[in-house]
Amino acid sequence: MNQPRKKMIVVGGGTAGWMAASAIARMLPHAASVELIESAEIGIVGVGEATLPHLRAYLQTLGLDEAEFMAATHATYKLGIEFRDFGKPGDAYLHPFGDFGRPLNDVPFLHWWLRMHALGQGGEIADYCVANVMAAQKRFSPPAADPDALLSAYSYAYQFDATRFGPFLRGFAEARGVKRTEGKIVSVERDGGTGDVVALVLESGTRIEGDLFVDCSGFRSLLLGDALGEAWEDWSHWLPCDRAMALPCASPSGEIEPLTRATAMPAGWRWRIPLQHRVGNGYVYSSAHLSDDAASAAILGAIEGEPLADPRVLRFKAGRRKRSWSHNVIAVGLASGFLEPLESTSIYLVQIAIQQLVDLFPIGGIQAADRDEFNAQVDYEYDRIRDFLILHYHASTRDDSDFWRDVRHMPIPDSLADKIELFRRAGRIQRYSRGLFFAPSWIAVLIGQGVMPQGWDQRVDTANPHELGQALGRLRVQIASDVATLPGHRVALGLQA
Amino acid sequence: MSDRAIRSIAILGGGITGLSAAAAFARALPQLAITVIETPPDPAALADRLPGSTSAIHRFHASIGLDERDLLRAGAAVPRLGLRFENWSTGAATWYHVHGEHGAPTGAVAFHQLWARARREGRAEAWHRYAAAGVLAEASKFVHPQPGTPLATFDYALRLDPERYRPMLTALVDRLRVARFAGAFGTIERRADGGVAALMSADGRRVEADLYVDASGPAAPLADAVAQDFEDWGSVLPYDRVEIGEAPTSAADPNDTIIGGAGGWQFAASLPGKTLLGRVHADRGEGTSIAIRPGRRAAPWVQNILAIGDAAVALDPLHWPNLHLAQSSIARAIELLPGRDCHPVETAEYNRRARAEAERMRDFQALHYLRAGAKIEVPDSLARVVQQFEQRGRFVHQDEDGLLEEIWISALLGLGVVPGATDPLALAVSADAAASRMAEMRAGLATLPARLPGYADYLARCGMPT
Ligand SMILES: Cc1cc2nc3c(=O)[nH]c(=O)nc-3n(C[C@H](O)[C@H](O)[C@H](O)COP(=O)(O)OP(=O)(O)OC[C@H]3O[C@@H](n4cnc5c(N)ncnc54)[C@H](O)[C@@H]3O)c2cc1C
Repeated sequence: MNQPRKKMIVVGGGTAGWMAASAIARMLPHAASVELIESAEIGIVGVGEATLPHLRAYLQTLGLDEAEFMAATHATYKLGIEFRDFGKPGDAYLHPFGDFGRPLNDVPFLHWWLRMHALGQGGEIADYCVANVMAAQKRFSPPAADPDALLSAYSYAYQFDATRFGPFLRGFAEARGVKRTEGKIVSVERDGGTGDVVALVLESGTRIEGDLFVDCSGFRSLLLGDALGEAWEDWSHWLPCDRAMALPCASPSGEIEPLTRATAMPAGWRWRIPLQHRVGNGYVYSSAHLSDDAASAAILGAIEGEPLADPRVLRFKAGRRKRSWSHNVIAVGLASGFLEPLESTSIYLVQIAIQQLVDLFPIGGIQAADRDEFNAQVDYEYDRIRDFLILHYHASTRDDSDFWRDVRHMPIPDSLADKIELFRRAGRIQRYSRGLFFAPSWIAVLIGQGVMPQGWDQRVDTANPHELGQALGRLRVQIASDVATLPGHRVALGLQA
Repeated sequence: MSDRAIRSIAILGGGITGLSAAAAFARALPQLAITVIETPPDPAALADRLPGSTSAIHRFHASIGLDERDLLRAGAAVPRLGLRFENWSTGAATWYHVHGEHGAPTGAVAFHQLWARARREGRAEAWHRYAAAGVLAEASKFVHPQPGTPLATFDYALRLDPERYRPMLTALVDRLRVARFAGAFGTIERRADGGVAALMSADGRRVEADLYVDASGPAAPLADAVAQDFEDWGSVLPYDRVEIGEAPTSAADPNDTIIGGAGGWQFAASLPGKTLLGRVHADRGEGTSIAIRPGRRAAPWVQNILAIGDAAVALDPLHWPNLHLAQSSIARAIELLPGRDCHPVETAEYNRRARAEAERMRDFQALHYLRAGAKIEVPDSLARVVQQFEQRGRFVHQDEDGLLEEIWISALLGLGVVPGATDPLALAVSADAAASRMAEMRAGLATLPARLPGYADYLARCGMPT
């Protein structure tokens, strides 16, 4: 192919910018040259510490070494997110990166369990989830390679220091020809006819031209939002939290839990993300329900170790730009939209956008069809995550603050109402092949927050309850004893036990 | 769910679809009382009459406990590797549509991307020649897939002889204690909420059940008595006439033959002792052929009435979707079987999936007609698939597609939808490196047929009657 290489300009050197630049440099070296512009003066958000298992695929695709990555970012392993006090005060459940049991005679495990549960037997569904049992015992080991092994039915992600991930990728990207330019962009030049962006002008007066602009400028949305004026779709009526008070603290002594914790709070919820060298904390709240000062006091009161900085407030709105790709600008990361970090989905959305960009990278000129495809895929992802987040607020019986009374009773999207009702009838999960969150995720949160199916798949009715109870009992014991042979999380990280 | 569980099912239709449903429900839910009202065969019920299936049939057979070896020995089925397309569009050479892996990816680069570039440069053979199944199909050879060998990565379908297959299903449902009697649809009694309270056969027998399944063919009198909304796909699928005939046996062939022509197409499928022949075309007022009305029942599941097979979706037989969709709908109904009240939220999920699956199949057929030059309306969902593939070889995945990506790609490439440009990702592999890998692959595959028995010999070894 004799297509000239496209000149791709990445605006922003946060997690999104460096992830995009690294991926394009690694995967499309013949199709594009990459220049990244970042401004030390503006800086990065620097939060965003909990990830999803998909990040492993990103590292693998780029050929990055897991151990090096973990050392550079002080990363820990993550088996899921524990939600405390969401359904009602005192509740706790894990949304694990793994399955509950295994299908039996083609019938999902859930239904066998539901039948026993209705008889007051069978224990907790969490007992059948390897990731859950591991997290409870604070152990970790990578999943077994043999898909028949009990200890294969889970996945894992990382918790890392967000300020170190970009710099880690920078070395990789620069070694693959990415040009980095330090400077603050002060104006954006557009073509009078097409409206495409043609060049960026830095404070120093330097003018940088490009064919394709990847907007990773964070909440500012410098190109897509500011320059192109792409419309904003506001979701704050469903997801009213609009601030976060972040505060890292020293690690408590003892074993590191291989999980992120989200604890419901009077005006939102609080994250706790253990890294190797510290713990990240933050209170995500609704400014209509809580003042910044009160949030600051609350997070200071909640942390378990010495604070390592002053509480820092971050402001945001739930929603997204109507289109992430407009003209020759593709927004990746916070520049395209924001959903609160309740399910650690932001970096995943960064990754999806990059993957779609690689898949739909322009050949010759930009095709409207490619752009539409890209935007359709991004829509799927956002819509599904949005519904899933709303579920955490809707499926609650909390009645102890205005915030919880408001979110419990707010109208929800029809798409979500149907999903919940379908599950409530007989434990079925609406099936889709694109987008995040498949059956185990829905099962974990729905049951975890008290939405118990009233029925189950009729195929389990013929089983002899005594035998079924024994089989389930054996499985529970087996999982518990297999997990007990695994090392603790600190040992798995190569730290002192 | 015992207190709200479905306890009984009445199935209208004694053809392959109705009996398949009876067998599948009886196997999965032995606690149900199942009655089949064996209606006289409807000549327009293509799922009951045609020999074709897809490779998904093995899973269905496993679920009802039908052993392929028994089917082969009884002459009720023979394995089928692929479809041989002849004269499909002007100037196109013969090509084979087979199931299974074609080539192998190079890192993150899909094989078809490399193939497409080589093809444009005149350095690639026909697409099917990079698949084990395609090589066997072209050489008229067959063996069952052999794990751990180069012959592991393909799949095959079955060609059924409806006249021998149906009695085997009958025997099976009898073993499963399904009640059946010959009858025709008479009337229904409605419940206050609009559901069906009882079904009366034409001769006055009354059947009460919690769930009623209409598997009686496109006329679907039971389903029609409750709801008539129909989505007509006549503007997308141009052919609405099918003639089916038989010829004395010809040489056994692991492929079905599909021959295109002006205004329609023909098929031939060899079975033990005979060859089934057919012709599919648009209505020219000839009168004797079977009329089909391409389209689907807008809501196949309404209250406690479920339409399956031709009663739910009517398609012409290209790629044998008829029985395939019927079996798939049976499996879906079991998987999503609602409570006795058939709550709308539960049936809606069934209907949603059924619609998406049928639309994908419609698009797949329409792709063939589009490429043959028929004047059809192209659904947006298909236009996206063609545009993305034609431009850059990207395959657009859509929900509930019962056809694997490889099946679409075989058809796209076989039909000459060759990507016009190399996907940027594929530029990482040099054209020369790709060409030499492809030549190596071809050399390996080309040696396969000589080591294998002919199709007829192989069948004889499996104990097939001749
Ligand atoms: C409270 C909070 C908690 C979060 N928690 C998680 C989590 O647990 N998991 C998760 O996956 N995600 C989380 N996120 C999201 C995550 O932090 C971001 O998705 C991720 O960091 C990517 O940010 P970014 O690169 O898009 O933007 P930023 O980090 O803001 O980077 C923007 C870049 O653009 C540059 N820039 C901006 N304007 C200019 C200009 N005029 N000229 C030159 N350069 C400019 C900046 O210098 C910077 O380099 C969280 C976000 C928030 C707010």
